[in-house]
Amino acid sequence: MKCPRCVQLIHRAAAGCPHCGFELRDADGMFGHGDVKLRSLTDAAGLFRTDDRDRLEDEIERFGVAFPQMFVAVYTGSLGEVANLRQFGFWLLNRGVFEDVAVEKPNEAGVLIVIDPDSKAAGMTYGYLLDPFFEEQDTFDCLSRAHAHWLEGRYAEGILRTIRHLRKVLRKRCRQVRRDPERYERKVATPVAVGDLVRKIRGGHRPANAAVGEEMEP
Amino acid sequence: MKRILYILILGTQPAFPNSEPPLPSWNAEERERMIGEGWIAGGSLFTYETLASEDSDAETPLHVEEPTAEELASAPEDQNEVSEEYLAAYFAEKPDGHLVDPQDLLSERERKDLEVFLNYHAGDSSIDMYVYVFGTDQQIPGDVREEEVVERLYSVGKPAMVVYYYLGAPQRSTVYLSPVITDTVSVAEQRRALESSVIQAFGSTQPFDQAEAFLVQMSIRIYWMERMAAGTAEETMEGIPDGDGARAFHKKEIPVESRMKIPAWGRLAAWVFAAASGGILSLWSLVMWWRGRVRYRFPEFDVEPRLGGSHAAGIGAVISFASTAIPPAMQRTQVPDYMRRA
Repeated sequence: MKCPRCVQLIHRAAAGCPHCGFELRDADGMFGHGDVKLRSLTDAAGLFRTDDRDRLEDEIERFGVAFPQMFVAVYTGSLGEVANLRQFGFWLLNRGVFEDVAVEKPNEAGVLIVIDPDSKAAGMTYGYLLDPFFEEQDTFDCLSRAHAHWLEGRYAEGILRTIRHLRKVLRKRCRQVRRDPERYERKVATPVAVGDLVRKIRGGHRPANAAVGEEMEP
Repeated sequence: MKRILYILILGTQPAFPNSEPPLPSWNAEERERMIGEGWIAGGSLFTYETLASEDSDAETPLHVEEPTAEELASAPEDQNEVSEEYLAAYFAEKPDGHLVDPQDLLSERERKDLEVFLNYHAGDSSIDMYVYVFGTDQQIPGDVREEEVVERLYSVGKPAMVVYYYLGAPQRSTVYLSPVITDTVSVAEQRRALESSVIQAFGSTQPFDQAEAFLVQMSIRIYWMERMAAGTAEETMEGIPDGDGARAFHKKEIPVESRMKIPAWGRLAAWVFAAASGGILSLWSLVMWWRGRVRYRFPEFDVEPRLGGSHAAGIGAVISFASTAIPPAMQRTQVPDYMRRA
């Protein structure tokens, strides 16, 4: 876990960055307070043609079908001189209200791709649901797939490649989780206090009806 | 002085050729007599009557002696008839090859091409095709009966169709079948086959191309005649399309000299390869279909919020695509945006 401003490691449940003191309120100060209504494909920079939009929306929908808990969103826009993609992505995924995303998919289950065509940079942010399973290296691999396309100005094609690789990574990670869920649970579990040992043993069991892993469509 | 003399001589020269003959002068007595007979000066110019020829004797037929019977018997041959010297080569005995061209009307190459085709047809069909080639305007002498030739030469042995083909005039062609199959293939069917072949031949203007098209079409028709003879054809040739459409019916079409003969092991390997490819394709389709139906779910762990964000604080990578000189491999180490090279 890293701070969006100084990109330094921070500890779990840090209310603010211990290195630079960054928190959401700072981002609110930069980008605005309150919620922002937008769609899962928001092309504020005007990069996509109609057929590009259709292809991207299809791909986004396919992602949502394959991962029923999750959604992926794309935002393109010029962030100006205050451009800081990490901070903007962090702020937008916390403040954004995605109108075309089902209510059973909260922002915790979202993956946001932000592209700034002016500064020619792109970033990826994800919600708390993926925190145990997704790492910075995974997002880097996904974005790297699009680099050649974005260099040539083919933004839609680059995003398609990114989302497809994201699906591939998540499928693989889902299988790994099914084989060894404790490994990922430990990454986000709170440190065990002395008096909490019994409570941990009692609460450590997941409900029997919690569906995890792959399932076939009925 | 000499110069003046030359000029006078040259000046007088053209005057002699241009001098016209003197006009006739009427004798007063003659004139009186003509007017008295009803003659009008210039009257003949305003009538449509032609003037009587002065020598009307020329129109009277000459009295020429009629030819005698001996002279008629020894009359010279028709110029278009096939010369007598070739008749034996044409009709004396059954030819060795399927193409009969003793007059060398076809070039060596053309003859070879047609022979290859006819030999292929003979190997593929139970009805041979013998082609007798004649010139465009040539006539078969009257003392040669074509059907008699067929009966005499093709009554025994493998059934055959004999084609008398006239180079450059396919419409003059005639066909005859061996007596053994004339009962099963009606004259009407033969006529349809001939008409169809002629139509195909007229698709080209070159005599050899016409002949080739004619024979190819006839070969196709012979295939249907075979089926009729065998009793396996349920329809008449009336319903068979011409040209390319008919070739689709043909079990084996135009011969290709360079046709490769695939050995048995090759065919087996091809079948195995095709089956394996089909199996792999089917399996791949099944896997893709199955993967499309799979739904992936992650366990939902409790994650404590951080940095004040209620939904997300998962900060992923940022890459720059401002320059080809900075590939993703050089951006693996993430740095704050203010330190990033744009």
